[in-house]
Amino acid sequence: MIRFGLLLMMFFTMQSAFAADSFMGIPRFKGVESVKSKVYQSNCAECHFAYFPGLLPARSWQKLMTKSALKDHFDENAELDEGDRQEILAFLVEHAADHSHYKRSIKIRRSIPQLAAPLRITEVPYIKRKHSEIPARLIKGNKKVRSLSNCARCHTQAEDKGVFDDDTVFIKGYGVWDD
Amino acid sequence: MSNVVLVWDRFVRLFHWSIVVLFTLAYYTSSSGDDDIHAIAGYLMTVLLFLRIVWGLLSTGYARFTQFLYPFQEIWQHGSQICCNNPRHYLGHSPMGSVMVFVLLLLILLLLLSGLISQGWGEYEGPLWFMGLMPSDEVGHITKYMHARLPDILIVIIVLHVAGVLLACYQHQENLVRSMFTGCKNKK
Repeated sequence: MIRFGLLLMMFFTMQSAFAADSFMGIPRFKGVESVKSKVYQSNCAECHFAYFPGLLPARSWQKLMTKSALKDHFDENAELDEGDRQEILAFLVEHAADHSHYKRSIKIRRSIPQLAAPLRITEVPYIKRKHSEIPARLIKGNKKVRSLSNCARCHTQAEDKGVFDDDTVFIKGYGVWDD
Repeated sequence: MSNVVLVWDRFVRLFHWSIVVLFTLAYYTSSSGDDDIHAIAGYLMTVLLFLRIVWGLLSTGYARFTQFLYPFQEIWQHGSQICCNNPRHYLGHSPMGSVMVFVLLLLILLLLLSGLISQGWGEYEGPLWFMGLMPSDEVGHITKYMHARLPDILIVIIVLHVAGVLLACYQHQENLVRSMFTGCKNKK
C-alpha cells in the first residue's frame, strides 16, 4: 500500500514537472507571450504597435528605455514621466525574451549573441532570417506595409494573441503568404 | 516448388509505408503550424532513410542497390518495351522502376538534409543547432529555398510513381500494391 502510494506520488509530481514549461525540449507555449500593461499601452501604443516584451531580451529593453535613449527614440523624442518609465521598464524586463518560456521568444534569445543588445526588433537575427525570402516590394515597396517593424499589418493575430505563425499572415496588396 | 517469392523484406515494406505516412504528415503540418510534429516526422524519416541506405549497401536481397542498378541501355530498352505495351517481367525493381526509386530516394534525401540545415540556421533548434553547427547565410538561404520547393517537385514525382505502378500492374496483370504490403510476388 505504501509502495503504491509512493508510486502515485511520483506519478503526480512527474505530471506537474511535465506540465511546466516544456515537454521533451518542446516549449509548451507557442508564439510570443501577449502580455498587456496599461502604462505601456497608454504611453507607447499612441505612436506604434506596443511590441510584446518577449520580442527582445532584457538587455535590449534596458538600453532602449534609459532617459537619454528615450530622448532620441528612433529620431523621435519619446521622453516619459519618470514613474511611468520605470514601471514600463520593469514590465518589459519581467516579460523579456530571456525570461520567457514562449517558443518564439526562446528562438529570439538563442539567435542574439551574448554580448549584443539589438535596439531594433527587425535586427534580431531570428526575425531577419524568418523574413529573408520575402521580396522587398511586399514590405518596403508596399504602401500598406512600409516596414518590417509594422508587425501587425501582416501578422493578423499578432496584436491580440501574440501569434506570428505563417498561416495567420496576410500581406495587404498581395494576399496570403505561403512560406 | 512454390511460385511465390518474398521480394520485399520487412524493412523495405516498413520503410515504404512509413515514408508515405510521414511525408503526408510533414506536408500537412508544414502549413498547419504544428512545427513540432513536422520536425518529428522529419527526424523519423531521416533515421529511416539512413537505415535504408545502409540496408541498400549491406543487404543481399532485392533491397540491395546494386541488384537494381541497370546499365543505361537496359533502362532504355525497358522503356521502349513499356511504350510498346510488351515489357519484360522483373521480379525485383524493373529498370524503369529503379530509376524512379533512385530519383525518389535522392529527392527525399535532399528534402530531409535541407530541412535539417535550414532548421538549424533559421529556427535555432534541432540537432544541428544543439551541436553548435551554424551554417553560413548562403547555405541557410539555399536550404530554406530548397526545403520550400522540393515537396511540390516530389508530389509530381510521386504522381508519376503511382502512375508507373498502375501501368505495370496493368501490363503484367499483377497486384504490385499488395506486394508492397505482403512482400510476396508470383514468379512468371
